[in-house]
Amino acid sequence: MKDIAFGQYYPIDSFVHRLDARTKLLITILFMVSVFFADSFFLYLFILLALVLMVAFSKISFIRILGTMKPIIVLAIITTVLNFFLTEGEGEPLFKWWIFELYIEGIFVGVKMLLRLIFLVMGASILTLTTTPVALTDAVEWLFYPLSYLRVPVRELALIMSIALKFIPNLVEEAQRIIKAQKARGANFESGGLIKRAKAFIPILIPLLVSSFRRADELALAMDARCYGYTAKRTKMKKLTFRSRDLLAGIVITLIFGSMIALRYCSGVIINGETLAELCPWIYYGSM
Amino acid sequence: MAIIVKDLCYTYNEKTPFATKALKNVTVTIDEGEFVCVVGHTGSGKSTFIQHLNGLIRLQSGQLAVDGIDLCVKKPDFMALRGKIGMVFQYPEYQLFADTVFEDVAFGPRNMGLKDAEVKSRVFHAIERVGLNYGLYAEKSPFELSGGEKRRVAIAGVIAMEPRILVLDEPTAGLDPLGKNEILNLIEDIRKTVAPTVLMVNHDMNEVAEHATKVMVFCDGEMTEYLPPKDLFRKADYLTSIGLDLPTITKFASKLKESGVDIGDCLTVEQAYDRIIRLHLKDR
Repeated sequence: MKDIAFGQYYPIDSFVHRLDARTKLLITILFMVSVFFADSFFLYLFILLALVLMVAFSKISFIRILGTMKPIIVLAIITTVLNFFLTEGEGEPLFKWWIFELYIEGIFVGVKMLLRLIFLVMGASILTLTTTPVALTDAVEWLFYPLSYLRVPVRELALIMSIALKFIPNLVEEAQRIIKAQKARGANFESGGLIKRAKAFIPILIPLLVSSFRRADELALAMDARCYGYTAKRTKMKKLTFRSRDLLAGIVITLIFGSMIALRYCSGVIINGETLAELCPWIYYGSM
Repeated sequence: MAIIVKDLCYTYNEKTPFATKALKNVTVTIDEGEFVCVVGHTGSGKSTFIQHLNGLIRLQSGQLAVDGIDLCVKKPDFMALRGKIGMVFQYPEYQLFADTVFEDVAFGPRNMGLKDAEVKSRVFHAIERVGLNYGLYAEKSPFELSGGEKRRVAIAGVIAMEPRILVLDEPTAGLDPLGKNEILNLIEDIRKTVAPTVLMVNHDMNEVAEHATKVMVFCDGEMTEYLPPKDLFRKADYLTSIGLDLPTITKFASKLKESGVDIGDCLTVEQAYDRIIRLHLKDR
């Protein structure tokens, strides 16, 4: 019933869990940016190193993190296959059948895209697995705080986000209950053609929609009853604080990604009369 | 025998930090014709237990047979099972979805693959049975009904499948006293006509005392008692220790006994009334 794996907060105690949510958010953003900078297989090793560190210090089993990949398996396969066969390269194709041609460049692009996708999802799920939705919302609010000078209602947006996150488990539970109730009346969600199956979801979606509106209504009323929005400034129950471990984690991650990005742009640096790219071609193997 | 349960165990979220044992070695045989009230505080395992009965929760370990259908086999016949055992969840009105009351009640029978004429007759009888006028309600939208009417429609949706066993999870929750009574009378009526065996989760001991033929007590995943209400309510100390109450009239009788007026164990107001009157007449 409650075993949805897609990156729901996983309550154990670890170094990563204890990090400030803002640190984790910034590291995740840095991680994602770096993934897009890496363009050779050697550079991907840096990403892998960071990922391994993050997983190891979060004490979350690798299997569980891999489990968050489930929803994107189809997407990943399609992307890889399309990249394999739709990338045109120089020279002779490695493989040819009907209208499909496979070049070495296609393999490079496909594999890199696949790695990129996997890394992005894993990085994001480590963040959500180790950070409570409330802390995450606070971190987002902090990050976007400068926008409030432009009259962007950052606080309200953060509140909407936190309510949305908090209601996901409720909604899932509600959905499970409705599914059970309709199953008890003989509903069948597994067999039949596409249209029949889509139709089978109507008895779930309509009650779910109705109850979402009801919940939203009740929540709005409860917030009104407690004078939400009538006071100028709201204080926080749990304040986020940066500690030395945040600095440590930040430095390590910045070093890893910094050196990776530096390496990427140093291919033209001349050492002993040769460029780095000529001296160590393996660093740039796979880049284009 | 309607339901046979042997050594039923169930653990939620096995092999994760959330793992919780919800059922521990539940063994019970429920005879046909019983009105079983299932009691126990929140998280005692009663919901998990009743969801096993129609296969909504798959068996982890133990044995279970419902009205001759064995649920231990690899692929139990769920369609046949769900035609035999009807399940009314908590707040069943929240699962209404169709444009009209007729369509909503017809959902179950249609899923059973019945012919249109049969569906129509079953829907007619089900709506009338829950005390609603077919002509007035069949074409209405279920969303424009009152709370009590919605609940009746939802119950009609289950009994239209004409199950032999009816399971209800707190069918009177959130209703006013009049509405509660109506629903309970409705269940008694269904018991006499469609489904002779009824299981009902209920927290109101007054209702339990009045309607149950057997009471099933759950505590921390174990089924600790399965006996007639008059025997159960003698164990007042035990019930209090696991956070359960006694019927008001039983408490009244024991108070009387403390002050020297013994009218015996009472389960209903009528019983207490009879005995007090008899005592009163004898004294004169």
